[in-house]
Amino acid sequence: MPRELPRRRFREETPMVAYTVRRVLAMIPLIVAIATITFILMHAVEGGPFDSDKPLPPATLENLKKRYGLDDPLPVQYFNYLKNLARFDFGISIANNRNITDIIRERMGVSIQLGIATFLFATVLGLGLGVFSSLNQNGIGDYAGVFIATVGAAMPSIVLAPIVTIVFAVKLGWFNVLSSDYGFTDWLRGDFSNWRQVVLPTIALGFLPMAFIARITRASMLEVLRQDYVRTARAKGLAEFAVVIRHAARNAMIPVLTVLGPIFAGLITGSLVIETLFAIPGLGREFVRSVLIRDYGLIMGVTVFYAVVIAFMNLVVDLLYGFADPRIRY
Amino acid sequence: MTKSYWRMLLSLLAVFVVVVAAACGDDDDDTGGKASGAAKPSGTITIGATQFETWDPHFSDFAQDITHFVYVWRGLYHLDVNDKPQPAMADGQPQVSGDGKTYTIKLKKDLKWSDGQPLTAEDFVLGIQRTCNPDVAGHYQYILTNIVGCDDYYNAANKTPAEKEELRKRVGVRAVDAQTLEVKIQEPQPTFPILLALWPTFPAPKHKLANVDAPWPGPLENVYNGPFMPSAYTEKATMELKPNPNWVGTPVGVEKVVLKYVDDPAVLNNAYRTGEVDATVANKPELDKLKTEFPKELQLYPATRTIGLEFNVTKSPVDKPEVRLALSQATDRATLVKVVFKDANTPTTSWVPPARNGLKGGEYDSILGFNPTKAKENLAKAGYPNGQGFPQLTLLLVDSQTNKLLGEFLQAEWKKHLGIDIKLEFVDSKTRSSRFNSSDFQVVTGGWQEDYPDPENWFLGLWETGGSINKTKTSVKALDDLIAKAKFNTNDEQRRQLYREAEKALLQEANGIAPLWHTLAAFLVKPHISGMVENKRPGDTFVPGDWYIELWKTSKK
Amino acid sequence: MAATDQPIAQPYDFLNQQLATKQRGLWAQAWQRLLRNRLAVAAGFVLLVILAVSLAADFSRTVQRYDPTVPDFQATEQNPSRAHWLGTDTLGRDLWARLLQGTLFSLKIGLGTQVIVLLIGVTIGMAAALAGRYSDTVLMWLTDLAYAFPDLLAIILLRQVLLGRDWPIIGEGDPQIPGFNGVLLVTVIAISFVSWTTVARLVRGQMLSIKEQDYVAAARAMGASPWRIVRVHMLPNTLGAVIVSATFGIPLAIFAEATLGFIGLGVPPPNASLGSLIGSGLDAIQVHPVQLIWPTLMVATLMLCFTFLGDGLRDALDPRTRR
Repeated sequence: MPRELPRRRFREETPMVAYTVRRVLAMIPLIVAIATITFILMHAVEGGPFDSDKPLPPATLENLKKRYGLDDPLPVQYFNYLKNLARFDFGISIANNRNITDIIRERMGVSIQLGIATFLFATVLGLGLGVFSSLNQNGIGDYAGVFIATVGAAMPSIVLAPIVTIVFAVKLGWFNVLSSDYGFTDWLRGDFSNWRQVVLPTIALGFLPMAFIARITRASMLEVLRQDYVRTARAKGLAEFAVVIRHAARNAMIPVLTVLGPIFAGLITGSLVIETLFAIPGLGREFVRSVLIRDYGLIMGVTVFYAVVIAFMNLVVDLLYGFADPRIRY
Repeated sequence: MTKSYWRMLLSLLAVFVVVVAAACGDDDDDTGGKASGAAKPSGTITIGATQFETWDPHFSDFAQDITHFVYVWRGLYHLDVNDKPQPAMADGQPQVSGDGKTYTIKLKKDLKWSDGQPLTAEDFVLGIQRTCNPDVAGHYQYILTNIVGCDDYYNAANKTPAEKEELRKRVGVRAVDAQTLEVKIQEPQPTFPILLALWPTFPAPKHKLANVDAPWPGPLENVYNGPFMPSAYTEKATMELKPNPNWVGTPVGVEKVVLKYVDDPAVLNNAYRTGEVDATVANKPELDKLKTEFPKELQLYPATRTIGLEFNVTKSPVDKPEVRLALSQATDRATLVKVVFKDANTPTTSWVPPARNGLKGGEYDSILGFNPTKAKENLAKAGYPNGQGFPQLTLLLVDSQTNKLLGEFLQAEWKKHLGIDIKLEFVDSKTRSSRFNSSDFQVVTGGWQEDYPDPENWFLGLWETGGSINKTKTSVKALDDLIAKAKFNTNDEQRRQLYREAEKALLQEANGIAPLWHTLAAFLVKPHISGMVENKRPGDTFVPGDWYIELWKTSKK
Repeated sequence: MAATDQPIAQPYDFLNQQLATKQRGLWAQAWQRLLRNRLAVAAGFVLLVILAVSLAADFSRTVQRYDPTVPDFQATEQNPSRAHWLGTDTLGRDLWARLLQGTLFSLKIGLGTQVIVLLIGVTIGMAAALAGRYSDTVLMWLTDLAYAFPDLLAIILLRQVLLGRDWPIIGEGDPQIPGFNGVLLVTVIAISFVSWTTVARLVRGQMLSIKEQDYVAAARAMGASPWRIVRVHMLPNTLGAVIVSATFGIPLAIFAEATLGFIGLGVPPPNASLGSLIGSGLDAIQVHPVQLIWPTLMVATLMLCFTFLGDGLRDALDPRTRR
């Protein structure tokens, strides 16, 4: 018995660490599975990288296949790919002969900045609106909050983006149409010259997640506010602010966290629509294009990269669960 | 409780205030800081562009890549506005041997790359060898097949390095001395000087490439011999070009050219409206509005591109000439172009554009043109009176807004005039190309965009029986004979006449194609720019005058 | 077989009947609460009208007024008039007929997607939360797998692989489920494939949280069977969050389909969806904006209505809602 005690204690003190390690290890088969599924799907899709509008002569096709290693049988290509993947080598893009790791690194920087800015915009406003609405349930404030959140999100971004561009950039001239220099790295050096480029994409991308966060927050807050412990807290005579923030909001965060994780992951991995319509050089534009042009290496590279990002984000959310609701055990 | 609601509201307001304050703060900083790209002082032209795929002129075949190449590199010759090759790096026209098979070209004196290193005949040798190199796998090698040994080298992908090296040396191009280049070709080819003006024969810097297999350096690492050279580059965002100090042609007119990479022409047009770009392609669906909005700035002119219905002549029912003719005659091209394209294209029944075949448009209207009565007769002749018993016919199209309209237009027209129900299949462009390239289709919409300005480019490989890119399986004896006769005919007028006859043989029974329209190039150019519109060519990709960037000027302060 | 089953089934039947009565009572109360929420009722009513009109148009030319697929080159890009209530499009097709056709198609996509999403998501989420650590690990690994797959990429790849081949049900040719042709089902499947994970994680999260609640502990202490605890306590208490998610899921699926059209992978003619209508409207945004306005308004209306209805349902279904 005495010998067992320290061991048990160790296990109780570090379940989170053990859990994290387990989850990180589980990512390896996850990534391999995703790479495999992608590999199968993308080769099942009709058409290849060298099927161009203007047909290429047979000799050129042969040489191209050889140049990019596509003349090997598919299983060989697959195992070659996995071998390179284990060394973090994504290979060469068929479309532009560049190293795929370089492409992803360059583009990801922009998409992450767009994603973080949008996430902050959507979360701050979304949480605010959601909490505000819930405290005013069925009151005018509630309807106003829900209305703002919903109207903003009622238009798909493929419509919202051109409309805000035409209104605020073309007609009013407040902002730029093109956001080629989107980013905040210059801001750290005190150079805010691209501010006309960052506002519209952030808002256009952020409206939908903002509304979503607001709604989940409202629903969750309403749920929590009716719980006994909130009533108890109120009955104890705690200040309403303390009740809302310390007791209600913290517990109401659990469902919100479930959506914040995916929203964050979705935002930092880039938005095809917003990046295209504002000419932002992000990763979102790249990865849909990679499928459309059958750039096999790039498809795999971006998928695996995204999968890692999303899986990590997922893990972080699960860990935050524990932080928000200590009753959850791993 | 109400109090705390107000607190929540206040905190929300605070967020807004912070955001607004931040925005205003930036505004102040902006006036002190540098202005944004579009508002730069005079001497800068910003244009809308498409991101290039590869920076390698000996490899790529994308229109946007080629446009970049001619901004920064030049070959021995350069095509003038009339598509005649004029000396660029070469000093005068080439000396051609008596049998027409050896070209000797003198380079201008003291040519230098942008880094100051000498540009010699060796660099041109290396350029051509790269295009013929199987490991580079250049897309445009096929236009150099007439160079001695180029095909042998190109087809040696599976040989040993030593064998490849041997074949490389046998490619018929050599530097007689630092300033003299000699090219040997197999058959006398009247269009050969044109090829010496195109990207596959551009020079390759020997001092940058260790050998013919060395990777091609990227935009900022490479050296240039054209009017401009990249000074800054962010993929998918912008490229900035500055004048090349060692450029030997017409001195350039602007300090800086900025290329903005944008995928969507509608976005570019909005950027043109706000002045963020000075010149760009016009978004064709908006053409009606642009005509009134920018009547003087909108440039519309014929491009050398023909689109039509391409038939796989081995697949039923379009293996029957009458069916092909019926489909062509049941298509009202004028209405099509008006409704679907807002008159941004020119209806046609010709394959070769007027600029190349020397004919006025409408030459084949009587054969292929809109004529519902004849169409019905032809369909009946084929055995399907009023469309009865007409087999399944699928029109394959690339999925795009315009193509949806086009497909639905054709479907409705043929239903109305022929009484047949065709199926539309919309696929993405790679699927379409894959089906086309494996001749797995009945009818597709497609055509040809010219590579080099000569009628032969509209036939060779495309329409001969078994031609390397003949995917419609067209096989007409008379056409084969005419193309063979024309191919190496050194009498230019005879040659052009033969191609005119070949066109007639092609279109007589809509063999492989029933042309529908020639594309119009549509651009917007601000009035402060000169030298662009005046020098436009049919193949312009980003702005008019793509091939003469050195002539662009701006009066904007 | 039947004979041996009989005696065992009986006591459960008795229990079930009792439960059913009790449940019906709860549902009736919920219905009453829903009816008191005017906004939700209005939203539901609007949705019903939209659904009814677009369904009616599918069956009756009187409602549809024009064939949505037949062009009229003499009447292209007209503005609203008495002949064409909403105007005509680039090919001269009536926008009223097109709008109803597109609305029905998009509603089918939205609803179809959520049916599949809920089926998969709730089952997996519940099983993961309740069926023990081992299956939790496996199921969550599966969820992580589907979830870590980039959405748009998965949708595009699946769509490309599935479309235009001779599959049963989702293949080419005449629809085998009436009103749901192959293109529609492929779109639904592709979108569902990436959407269910959110619901699964939501359900699992809620259930893990509820599992630790006092009333569940109390029920367990009183000896209630696990299944009963799930059915009586956990499922209904999860419903609120799931409905919020599903309500949002419908317009999100409609949005997703619209984005596919933006890439050039939308529904092919003769089908029309709100997404494809918005797509052609965007091309005409400068020259003939009504083509964009109607489908956008319809999407916005659907979004608003599903939101308000979802809110109302949520408030109504939650047994602890008290004004």
